Amino acid sequence: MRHTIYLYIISILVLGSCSYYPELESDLDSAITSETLKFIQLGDASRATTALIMYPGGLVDPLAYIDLLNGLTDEDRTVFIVKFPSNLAVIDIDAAKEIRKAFSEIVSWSIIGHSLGGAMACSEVVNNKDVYENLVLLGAYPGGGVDLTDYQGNVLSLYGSNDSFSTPEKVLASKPQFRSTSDILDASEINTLETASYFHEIEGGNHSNFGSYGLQRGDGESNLLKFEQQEITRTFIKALLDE
Amino acid sequence: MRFVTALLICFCSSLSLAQRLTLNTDLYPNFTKDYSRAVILPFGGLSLNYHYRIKGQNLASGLNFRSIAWGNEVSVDQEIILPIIDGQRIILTNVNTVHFSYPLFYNKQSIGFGLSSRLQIASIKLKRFRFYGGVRFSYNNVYGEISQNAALIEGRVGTSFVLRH
Repeated sequence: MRHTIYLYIISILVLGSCSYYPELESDLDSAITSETLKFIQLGDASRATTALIMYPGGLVDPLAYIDLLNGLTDEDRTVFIVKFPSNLAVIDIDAAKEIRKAFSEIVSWSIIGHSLGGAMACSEVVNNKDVYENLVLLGAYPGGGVDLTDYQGNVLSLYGSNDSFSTPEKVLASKPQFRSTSDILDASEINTLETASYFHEIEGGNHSNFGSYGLQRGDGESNLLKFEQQEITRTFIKALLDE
Repeated sequence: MRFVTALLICFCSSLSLAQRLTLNTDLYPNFTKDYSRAVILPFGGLSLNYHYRIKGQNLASGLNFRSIAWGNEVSVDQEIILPIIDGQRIILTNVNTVHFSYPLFYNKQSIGFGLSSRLQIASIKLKRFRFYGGVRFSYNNVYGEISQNAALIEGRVGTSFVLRH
């Protein structure tokens, strides 16, 4: 009987730990500068002075964000996608610290997170409020005890109207955890308002299309094509980072 | 997923045949060069093996669950256990394993492969515990289509606890 219980425990572990395999459209050889067991780097870090660190969603392979983030690199900006054990950011919340330490020539850091990765990115920012100039959340919101009201950087929260996990209600309920919030309709409104935290609902968007890994089980159907949702997402992120 | 469930059911039913059952907790240190310096990145794992003898040869079959560069995977293991020292205080054995692995992805079916070899030491006083260290090679062909980390050579250290003699 005891052994059967052990097996049930292992079975639950196994069945609950499947990840989503990337379904990519990008040319990986040209997109990825380097890949190690701890991160994937897009863009050239040798000349970059600004960087974006990405925390992937829970049980989503980090390569699934290449399509989205590939267009955000330029001569001055590089992107690091963090790899977490078992693809769970909760296991190593301050993984970004090692990247910042290793690439000390980069002067401006921003952090972005999707889903569980977004919640963990909020925790990372809370612990390093002076380090990050921008925090971007994709279908994500901070955990209950996380207070970002005294964070002086900018926050951009993008969420899909058809997201069944981080529903619009849940995302909007997190507003009191941020400083000076406002809803925006267009990327051009970023940095033109007397505000620090921008919320934008992607009409017809869902949870899965922030990455490239197919439709997540339990997520709502998107009215947008994946590349359309990702293009909208990139436009808003660029507006925030280029400012 | 159905494959994994079937695997678990087969393994459960085979338990009744087990002569000795062990639960192993593994750490897989990877000596990798990240951030321009060498770091040790440990993945973790858990396995359940049942031991038996065929024609005087000690064998074990098991099910292994572990974290790895591509997330998590489960594998069916076949071990051959070779005695090195069978002393009055300690027993030293060489355990060689073939791993037929199934990377855990919802939306992609693939089969991986692995080999490992380890030295295992057991004390006569601590009958239920065994400690081991060795190396493991893992490979996932499908992940190799998108990642540079589809083949790993890593350490393997751990403890084996005998659940049933």
